[in-house]
Amino acid sequence: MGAAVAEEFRLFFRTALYVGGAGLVYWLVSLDAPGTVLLVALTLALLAFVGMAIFLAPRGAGAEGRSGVLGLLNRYIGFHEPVDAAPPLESGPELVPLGSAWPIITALGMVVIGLGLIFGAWLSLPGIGLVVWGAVGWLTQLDRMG
Amino acid sequence: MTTVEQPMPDAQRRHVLKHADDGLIGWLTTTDHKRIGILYMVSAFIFFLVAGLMSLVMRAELAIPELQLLDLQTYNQLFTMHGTAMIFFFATPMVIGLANYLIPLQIGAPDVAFPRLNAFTYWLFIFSALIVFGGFFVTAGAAAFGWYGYPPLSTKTFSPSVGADLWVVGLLLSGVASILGSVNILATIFALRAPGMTMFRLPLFTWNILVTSILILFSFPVLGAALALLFIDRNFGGSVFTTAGDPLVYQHLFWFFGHPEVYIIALPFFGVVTEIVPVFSRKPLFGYKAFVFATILIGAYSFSVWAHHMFTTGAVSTVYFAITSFLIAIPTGVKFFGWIATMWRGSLWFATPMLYVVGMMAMFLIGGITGVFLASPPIDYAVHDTYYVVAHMHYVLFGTSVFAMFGGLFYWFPKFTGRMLDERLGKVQFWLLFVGFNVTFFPMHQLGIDGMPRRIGDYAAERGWNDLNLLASGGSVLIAVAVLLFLWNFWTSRSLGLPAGDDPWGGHTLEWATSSPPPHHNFTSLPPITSDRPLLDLRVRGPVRQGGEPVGPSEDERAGADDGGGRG
Repeated sequence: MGAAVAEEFRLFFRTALYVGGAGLVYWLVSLDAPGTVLLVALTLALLAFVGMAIFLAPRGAGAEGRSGVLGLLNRYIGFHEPVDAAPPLESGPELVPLGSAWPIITALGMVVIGLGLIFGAWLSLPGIGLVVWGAVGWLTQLDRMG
Repeated sequence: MTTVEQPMPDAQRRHVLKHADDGLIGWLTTTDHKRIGILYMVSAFIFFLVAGLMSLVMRAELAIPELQLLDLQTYNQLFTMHGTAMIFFFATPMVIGLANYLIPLQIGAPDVAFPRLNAFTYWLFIFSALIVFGGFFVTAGAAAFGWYGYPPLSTKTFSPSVGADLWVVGLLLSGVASILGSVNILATIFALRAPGMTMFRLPLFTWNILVTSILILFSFPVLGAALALLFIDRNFGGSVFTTAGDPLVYQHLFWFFGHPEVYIIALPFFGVVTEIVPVFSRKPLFGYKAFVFATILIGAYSFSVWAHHMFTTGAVSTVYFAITSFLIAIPTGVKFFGWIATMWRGSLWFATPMLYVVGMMAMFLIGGITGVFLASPPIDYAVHDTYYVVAHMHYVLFGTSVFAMFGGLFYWFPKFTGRMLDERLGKVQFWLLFVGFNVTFFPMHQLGIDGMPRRIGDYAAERGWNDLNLLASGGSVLIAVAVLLFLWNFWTSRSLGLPAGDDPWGGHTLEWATSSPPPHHNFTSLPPITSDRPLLDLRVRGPVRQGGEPVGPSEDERAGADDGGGRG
């Protein structure tokens, strides 16, 4: 313990605490299944991000002052950020990208698939072709450019 | 501008590649966040014009009793497509467009985290919108069941048109685009911030977009699920939402998305306001952390209020949803007080962006107060599905998004183009819009209280709604004139406007530290980032080395310059 959890993830934790609490109260007040399921599902989805935070948090580094329960609360849901907090999680060399035709081709393919759902499965076939063509082009574009 | 250079990493410079082609192919294949931002904003504005035109036709129909221009089915299609277009194809993409252009600039990044995914989401959004509008060109016309598509009205039995299927599939794909866009923005904010840009130094616009992206990430999948099940009910014999299943489940799913959607639209425009107010008050923002806290709270609360749209079903807990809905007024009030405290004793400069921001605050205040009334179940039961609700939601949505959008466009247009919009035309446009908006929508409160239902294309003369409807229709013409004036201003200023320079307003945030318009790679150097207002620091304190001693004015001068505002 003692590692500071990045603010990026405390954000999710605070929200999960609120939504989880709201879900519990909602169930007790209403016994309504659909709404409770939605709130519980949202809490779990938010907690998945918190799990990632704990996984990614630097061990033993960036510890914040207070210990005990208050220190724990501050680390996980507080609004304190160390002055020298390292800003990015991790960043390598950034690319300023070239243009690419693959996104528009892939998007067009997805839309044709969607239209196929309405006008007939036959129309989905060219859509699938476009998506596969677009995705392969997209994934291999940088390799082909060396 | 004087800056102590904080050079971009060598690796970053090495990979700066040549500019994309300026021609049509260049725009179709662009992955530059600024170009994609402009594409989003221009597309969203076109949809705003189209949806606005629909509302003008509806107001013309309603100006006097009985039917003159439209048949009832066409009227139903128009209000459905008006709402759909304004929510999904104007307000949301306008937010995404502003975020696309501004977020990398505000955090000191060369682009978004996933540039090609960014292009993909834009094209998927455009194609989805075209699919939805394609409903007008099929037999039986476009969807005609209201923008939230409640079953059983939206089932095949009652809405057999192919236009309804196009609506479902189009919105489903548009939702996918929004989710992917939010992932991109979150990754950009989390991973591409410049050295020194900690989370609590992020500009408030970026904070609002961050919370908005989280709302999109967790609410649009629920809409997607609802639409997919509706599509299965309509076309594959499902019975999830039919009377054999439970139509109310659709309402739960829809509003679990739908209420966060209100804040998906509102929060970024709150962010726009929070950027503009301190710059035009000549003061640092009052209560930075209070704004952040309020933004997060609004986002969290928005997930627990959905069924206040369902009070009259009699199947939800009115007490629970009334209390949670009232709670939202608290963080919203914190923001209002923060804006007022920032203006308090400031050196106020009522240039056009500030006029729009103050107008937005006034309009949103009215929408917020009527929202508190509607959160009270007895009042909601009385005015549900009347024009009172139409008035309320337009004060909230139009009052926030359109006023703040124009404020933001006047504020950032110089950054986008290097030229100023005409201030005089801007002020005339503001007053036309302000008067037109209030003349159009304020009477609707009274119409609602008088019992006029929403979504009717016809009413009898003896109901006593004639004068207020005529007044509202007259106001809508003023709104149209105001929008036309903006188009004229935009068209002439982009080539003939006064040169803006890099920072015409004395901005506080990083986007004003680069040229106007910015180069493809955004920055060649960055000022030191030691607070949420690096450019104001630079002006007040002079050049400061990153993490080092300030150089320039003395301690006393700095202390004097810091008076009059502070961070919470």
